[in-house]
Amino acid sequence: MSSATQPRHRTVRSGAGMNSPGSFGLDRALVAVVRRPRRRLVLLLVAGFGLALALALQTTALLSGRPLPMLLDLLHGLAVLAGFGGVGLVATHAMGRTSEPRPHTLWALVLVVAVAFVFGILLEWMLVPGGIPPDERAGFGFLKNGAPASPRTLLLMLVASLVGFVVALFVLVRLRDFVLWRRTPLAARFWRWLVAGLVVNALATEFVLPYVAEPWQTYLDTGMGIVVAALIGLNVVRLSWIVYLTFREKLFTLITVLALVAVIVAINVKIAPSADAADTVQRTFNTLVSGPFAERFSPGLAAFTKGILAFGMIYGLAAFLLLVFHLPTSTDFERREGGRMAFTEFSRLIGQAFNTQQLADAIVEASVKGGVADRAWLALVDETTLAPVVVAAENVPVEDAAKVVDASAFLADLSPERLPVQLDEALADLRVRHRLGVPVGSLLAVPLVAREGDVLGMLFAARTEPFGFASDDRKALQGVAAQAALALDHARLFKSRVEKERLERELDIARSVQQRLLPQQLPQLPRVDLYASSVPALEVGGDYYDALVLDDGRLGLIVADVSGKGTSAAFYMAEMKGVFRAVARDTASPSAFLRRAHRALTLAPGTFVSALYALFDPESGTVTLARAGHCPALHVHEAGGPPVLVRPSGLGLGLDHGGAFDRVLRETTVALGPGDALVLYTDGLVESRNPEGEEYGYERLVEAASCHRCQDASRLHRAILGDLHDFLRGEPYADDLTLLVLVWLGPVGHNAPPSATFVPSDLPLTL
Amino acid sequence: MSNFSVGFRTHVAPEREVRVFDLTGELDAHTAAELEAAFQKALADGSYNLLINGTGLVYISSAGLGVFMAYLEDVRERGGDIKIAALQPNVFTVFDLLGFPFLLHITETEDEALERFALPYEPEA
Repeated sequence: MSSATQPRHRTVRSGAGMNSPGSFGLDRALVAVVRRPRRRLVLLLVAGFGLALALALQTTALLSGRPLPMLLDLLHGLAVLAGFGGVGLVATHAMGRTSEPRPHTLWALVLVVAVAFVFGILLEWMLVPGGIPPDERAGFGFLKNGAPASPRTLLLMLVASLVGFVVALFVLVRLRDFVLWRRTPLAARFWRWLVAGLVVNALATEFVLPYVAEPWQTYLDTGMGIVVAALIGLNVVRLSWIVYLTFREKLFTLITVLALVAVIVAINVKIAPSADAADTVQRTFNTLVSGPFAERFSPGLAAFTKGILAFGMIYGLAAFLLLVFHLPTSTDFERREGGRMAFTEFSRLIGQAFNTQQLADAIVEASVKGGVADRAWLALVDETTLAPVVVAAENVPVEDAAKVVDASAFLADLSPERLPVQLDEALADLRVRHRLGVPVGSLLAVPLVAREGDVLGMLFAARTEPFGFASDDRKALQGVAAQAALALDHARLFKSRVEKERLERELDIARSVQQRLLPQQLPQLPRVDLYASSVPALEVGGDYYDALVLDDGRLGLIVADVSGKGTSAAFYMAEMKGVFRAVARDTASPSAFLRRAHRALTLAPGTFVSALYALFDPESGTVTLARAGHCPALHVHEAGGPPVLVRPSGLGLGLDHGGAFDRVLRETTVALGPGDALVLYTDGLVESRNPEGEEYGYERLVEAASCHRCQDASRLHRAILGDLHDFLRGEPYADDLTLLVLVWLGPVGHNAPPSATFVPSDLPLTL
Repeated sequence: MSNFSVGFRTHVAPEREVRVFDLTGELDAHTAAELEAAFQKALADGSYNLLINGTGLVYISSAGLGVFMAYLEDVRERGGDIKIAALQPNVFTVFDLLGFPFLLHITETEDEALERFALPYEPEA
C-alpha cells in the first residue's frame, strides 16, 4: 500500500502498538466472541486494560525522556493490539450490517469522513503551530531520540490514533455493505482477503518491520503495499449498487460530496491560505494517520488505518465517477425498473381478480405505468352486440378513447395470425381520428386472443410522438395482452359458471312453481274420461294446461305454451293461469276467451304464448275450439276414418299488437262421436327428436293415435307417450311435454265401449 | 358447443340493399342471442332490410321465434322489413302454426323474398 511512498520513523520508535486483529473477515469467530454480552464485557475490559497499559508505557517514556527499550516496545505493541482490537470488534458488532445499504448510509459515510477531515485540520491547527512545512514537522513534539517531549504530544498521539482508527473502522464496516451488496461467493472471498491483507500488513509493520535490516525492510514494505493495493483493486469494482440509485439519490449524493469537499477546502484555506485542495487532503491524512503522532504511537495501527482510508478514497473516487457517468441514463433505468415492477404488480393482480372491469383497469394501468405507453385503453368485444366497447382507459377519458380510434376497423383488419398493429405515424391512418385533441402520435394495437382463438378485444397503446414505439415496447405490450387475455378468459368462465349456478337455482324454483301451477286434480264429469300429464324438460319451459267446469256444464280445456324458459316462463304461465281462471267463466266462446287473453297478458317484446282453448259439451259431444298459434288438436275417431288434425287459424298470443290477432282468429266446432278422443298437446311432443335428429312429427302422432284408438283416456295417453319413447330411443324431450286426452263416452244411456278388451297386452305402458 | 351460426351477406338490389342472414343449425334459447346480436349490428349499420335464409336451419324454438317478433316492429318503423325465405318444412310448420305468415313474408325462395322487398308489406289476412 501507500506506505511505500511515505517513509516512516519506525527506527526511532520506542512504543510498539498493535492493530485490531484480522477479525473482520472471520465473521464466525467475531460473532462467537462478540454476540454474548458477557464476553463483550470481558473483551472491553481487556481492551481497557491494554489501552491503559499502552498509555502507562508511553508515560514512562515521557518521564524518562527515552524511547521504550525493545522488550517494553513489544509489550506496548501487544497492549495496543488488545486495546484497539477489542474496541474494534465491539464497535464493528455495534455498527451492524445490512444486505441492502440505503443511500442515507452513503451520505452518513461521506459526512463522517468530511467531519473527520475537518477534525484533522482543526487538530493540526490547534496543536501544531501553523506555517511549519509538513516535512519539517516530523520532529515537532518529540525529543531527538524519538521519545514524546510533553504530555501534549502524548495526548495528541492518543487522540490522533483513536480518531483515525474509529473513522477508518466506520468506513470499513459501512463500505462492506456496499461492496458486498448482492454478494457472490467470489466477492465475499475477495473482501475477506482484503481485510486479512490489511491486518497482516498492520501486524508485520508493528512487529516485524522495525526489526528487519535494510534493504529488506524496504522490500518487505513495498511488497506488502503492492499486495494490499491489488486487494483494493479487486474490491473497488464492486459498485453495482450505484446503478439502482434513483436519479434524485444520485444527484443528491453528488451535490453532497461536492458541497462537503468545498466546505473542507474552504476551512483549510481559511486556516492556511496557501494550501490548495490536494494539500488539504495530504495534510489531514498526515495528521490523522501517517503523521508523527499516530505513527509514533503505533506504526501498525497507523498502517491499518491508512490502508482502510486508502481503500475508502479509491472506492469513493470510483463511486463518484461512476455516479457522474450514470446520471444521464438514470431516468431510463428507473423507467425500466418501474416498468418491471408495474408488470409484476399486474401479474399479481390479475391472478386474483375475477371481475372484468377490475382486470380491464389493471391492464391499461400496467401498460402506462410500465412505461410502454403515454396512454392506453382497452376495447372488449361485447358478447351480445359483438362490437368492441372501450371499457377502461388510462391517461385519457374513456369516451374520448372510444372515439379517437375506430376499434372495430382494427378488429376487422386483424391478420389471421392476430399480430399486433403498429402505426408509427398514427395520424396518417384513416382509422385514427385526431380532431379530438387526444395526442396520438404513434399507436400500437394488440389483440387479446383467448385460448380458443377468439379475439376478446384489443389493447391500444398510444405515444404522443410519432415513432414512439421500440420493439421491446411491443413485446412488453404483447406480454400484457397475452396475460390479460388469459385472465379475461378465466373471468368469463368464472362468470358463466356463476351464471349457470344461478340459472340452475332459478330453474329449481321455476320447476316447483310450474308444478304447483298445474292442476293437481282434473274435474270429474260423467260421460267424460279425462287424462293429462305434463313433463317438464330439463330446462323448464312454460307449458300449462288446465280444465274447468263452467256454469253451463261445459268443460273448458286449455293447453298453452309460453315462449322462453326459466323464471320468466313460469311467471307468464302463472299469468296465463290467472287469465284462464278469471276469464273462462265469463266468455261464451273460445275465440272470445282468446281475444280476452291476448289483451290481458302483459308480455315482454319477443315473448308470446301459444294456446288452444276448447269448450266441450259432455251432453252433445261437441267441441268448440280456437287456436292461438298452438299445435292443432287431434280428433281421434273411435271408428271410421283416421284421426284428424283440427287447425283453425289463429296467431300466437302477444305476437302482434295491431289488429291481426282478431282478424286471423277463427273458431271451429268438432262433433265427437261416442268413444271418440280429443288429444291436446304441446310442441314438446311433435318436435322431440330421435338420435338421428328426426322429429317425431304429426304423421307419427296421427299414426300412433290411430293404432290405439278405442281405449280409455289414460291408456291412449300412455300409448302415445310409449310410441314417442320408442321413437326417441333414450333422447330427452325437446321441451316440456304436455299431453291431454279426452274421451267422450257418449250421451247418457250410451254404453261405454269395452275399451279394456282392445288393449294389446304387450303395449309398453311404462314411461 | 353451439351448433348454430349466422352468416352475413349483403345483397345489393338497384333500389335497396338487403342484408341476408344465413342461419345454420338450431335456433333455440341459447343461440337466440347470436341472432339478436346480428340484428343489432345490422340496425347499428343502418341496414333495415333483413332477409333470413333458412336453408340450413333445422330447428327453431319459441325463443328463436321471439327474436323476429322483437325486431319486426322496430325495423318496420324505420322503413325496413324482415322477410324469411327457404325454410325447411318442419321449421316452416312452426312458423305457420304460430301464424307468422300473417305477420311477415315467408317465401319459398330467397329471390322471391328479394323481389318482395320492392313492395310494401301488406297483411294477407
